[in-house]
Amino acid sequence: MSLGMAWLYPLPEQKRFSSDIEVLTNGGRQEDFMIRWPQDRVSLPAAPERVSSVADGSAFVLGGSRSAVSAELFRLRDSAGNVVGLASRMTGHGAPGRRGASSSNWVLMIPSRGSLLMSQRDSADVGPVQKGGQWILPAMAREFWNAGTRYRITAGPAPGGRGQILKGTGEFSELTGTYTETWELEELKAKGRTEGRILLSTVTEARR
Amino acid sequence: MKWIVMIAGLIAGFSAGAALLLVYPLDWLPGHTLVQRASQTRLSITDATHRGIKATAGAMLGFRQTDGGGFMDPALRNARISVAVLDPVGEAGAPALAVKLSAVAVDNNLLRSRLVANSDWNLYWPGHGSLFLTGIDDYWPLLKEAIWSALTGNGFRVHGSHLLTPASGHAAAQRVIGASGKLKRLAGSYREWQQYDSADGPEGTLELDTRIRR
Repeated sequence: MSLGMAWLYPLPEQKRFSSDIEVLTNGGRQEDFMIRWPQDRVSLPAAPERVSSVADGSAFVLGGSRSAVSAELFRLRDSAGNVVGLASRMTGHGAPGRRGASSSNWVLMIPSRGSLLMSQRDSADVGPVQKGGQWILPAMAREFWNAGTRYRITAGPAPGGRGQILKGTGEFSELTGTYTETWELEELKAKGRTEGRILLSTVTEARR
Repeated sequence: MKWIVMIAGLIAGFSAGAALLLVYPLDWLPGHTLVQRASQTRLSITDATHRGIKATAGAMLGFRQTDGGGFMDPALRNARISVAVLDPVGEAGAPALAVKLSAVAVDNNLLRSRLVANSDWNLYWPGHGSLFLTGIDDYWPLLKEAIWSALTGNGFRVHGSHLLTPASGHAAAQRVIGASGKLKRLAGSYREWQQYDSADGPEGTLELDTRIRR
């Protein structure tokens, strides 16, 4: 009877959308993901103690004595716009003080498929900054967009200024590759609020 | 003559073995990890905040147990996201900010005693560097304890501290991967302990066994 129940029990299933993957001419496969801000930001009910909450509870900043790190949480969409997973972006500096560009890590978790763990050197310092006693993320400020509406954030460490996919799990476990992160501003709203999208373009191939 | 050949063979074999030990060709293979320094770090998970399904056996079975409202998106109904501060246990040290993403595994099977969630952590120490952790959380022992608790009239629940990391079998899949800064070259494995019904103390502990990757 127990065996029968275990066999019949309807365990949770993960909703899967068909993957939009392009096979590249010179080898490898390209898959693009997208995040729309602010609507894809994932808010949490509270901030941990010692941590500042920004962007309506969807980004968190831990300040050290000479440096700070931020964590942003998002819904992840495929190129067709379907919400397929969750993503986190952590940004900071790997050495004390604010010297030059920041570095960022992405975790893309697609429950029905697996995860990609990705790391990059940023093209500028896009880590959290204090303004008027409050932490803000540069891309949320109007001034960040004075010089243009499209920024490629990834600047390395892989060749071509691309970021590195350090590990895949699930159906990504046998893959290695690179990626780019690009921010596109779509609208400047009242009170300096912004709307736009983050494009994550991955190129992977089978691990040798 | 026979003795000379034997002695020459012994000397040649000894020399070849010693040379192999000195050079150790496996060290030159791409991706091979050379242990230069090993260390163990214990981090307490404090002040965590969550959204999505709860980290319980009931949630893994599909009972709608959620924290922070859960997710309405069909692809996220069985997923969870957490943010926490990690502090070193028993020693002074800077705290880290951590994000954990987890989701019910698609290949769970009660007939095979498999009830797990896939989990990915990102840990970042300000001004120091960052790590990824990737592995699975095993809820099967928690399910057994919850069933026993229910059978003895104490409700479908678990108490105390539990090792979420599989005790055997999949334990090798619990990977630590250096991501940036001074921690970029770290590799190793990890274990996670989850504290149930903790009133004030930490909600869990992470134990990292790390070494420097060549």
